[in-house]
Amino acid sequence: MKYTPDAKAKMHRLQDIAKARRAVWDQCEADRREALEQLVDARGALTLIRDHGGAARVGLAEAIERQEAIVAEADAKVKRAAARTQQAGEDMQAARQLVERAEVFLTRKCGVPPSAIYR
Amino acid sequence: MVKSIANAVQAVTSEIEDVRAQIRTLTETIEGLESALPSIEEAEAKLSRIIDDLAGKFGPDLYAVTAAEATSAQFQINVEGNYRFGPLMAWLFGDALKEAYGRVIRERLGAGIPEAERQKRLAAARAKRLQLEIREEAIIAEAEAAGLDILRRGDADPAVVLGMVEA
Repeated sequence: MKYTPDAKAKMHRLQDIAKARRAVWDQCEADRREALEQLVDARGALTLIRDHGGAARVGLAEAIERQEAIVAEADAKVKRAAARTQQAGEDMQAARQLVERAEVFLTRKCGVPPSAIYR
Repeated sequence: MVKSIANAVQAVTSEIEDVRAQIRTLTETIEGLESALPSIEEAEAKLSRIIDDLAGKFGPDLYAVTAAEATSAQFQINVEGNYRFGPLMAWLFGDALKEAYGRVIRERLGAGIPEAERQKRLAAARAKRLQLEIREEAIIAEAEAAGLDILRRGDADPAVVLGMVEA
């Protein structure tokens, strides 16, 4: 089978897609880490409020309730971010796998030298 | 306008999912055929060939039993140490082995597929899957041209994705 210019253009496209999917995963992972940090902070604040709610204890229950709501929201955000990261990871893996299989196909079945696949 | 775009996206997504479901089903069929057991007759014929082949690998050491200095000790050494067990068994009891293994084959094998039929079904399933993969890639390329990205499967056929097979 001949490695046509169209096929070469497609290889470039597949590689670009794989890179783009990697970038998406990187971003998702960064978002997940940030959400996790926010959750840790929110939980820390809740502990602080519970432990040192103030001498007068006025409005303490409301403050705890408010902070618990913030923690719950942060927790949900982490879960959403984790789900997005997992999906992005699977997408990235699929794109990468296809690039690798295409490279193997070109080199082993079509006799294209590895150095000529993208050049 | 927005609704018609959403409908178009839905139609493409639905079509690609349908094609992929068919590819998955065919892949399972192909994997099943690749590891399918043979028919009883073919299994017995193969068994017979294997045992005959094994028996042919046994070479009786005539010298050890006919030479003037031949001893039972030397013969025992040959039997226990020099001869490999499988060829010796096949040479001595080939027919009995065929009968015993044949009985096990008939009891346990169940309905296998004759080789010619298996190859025919495999070829048909592979050809059909190829056509589906070509269709899948055409849908993806069409969607890409319209600005809609559909992720390709990691196990898609590279020859199809690169447009290096004939439809």
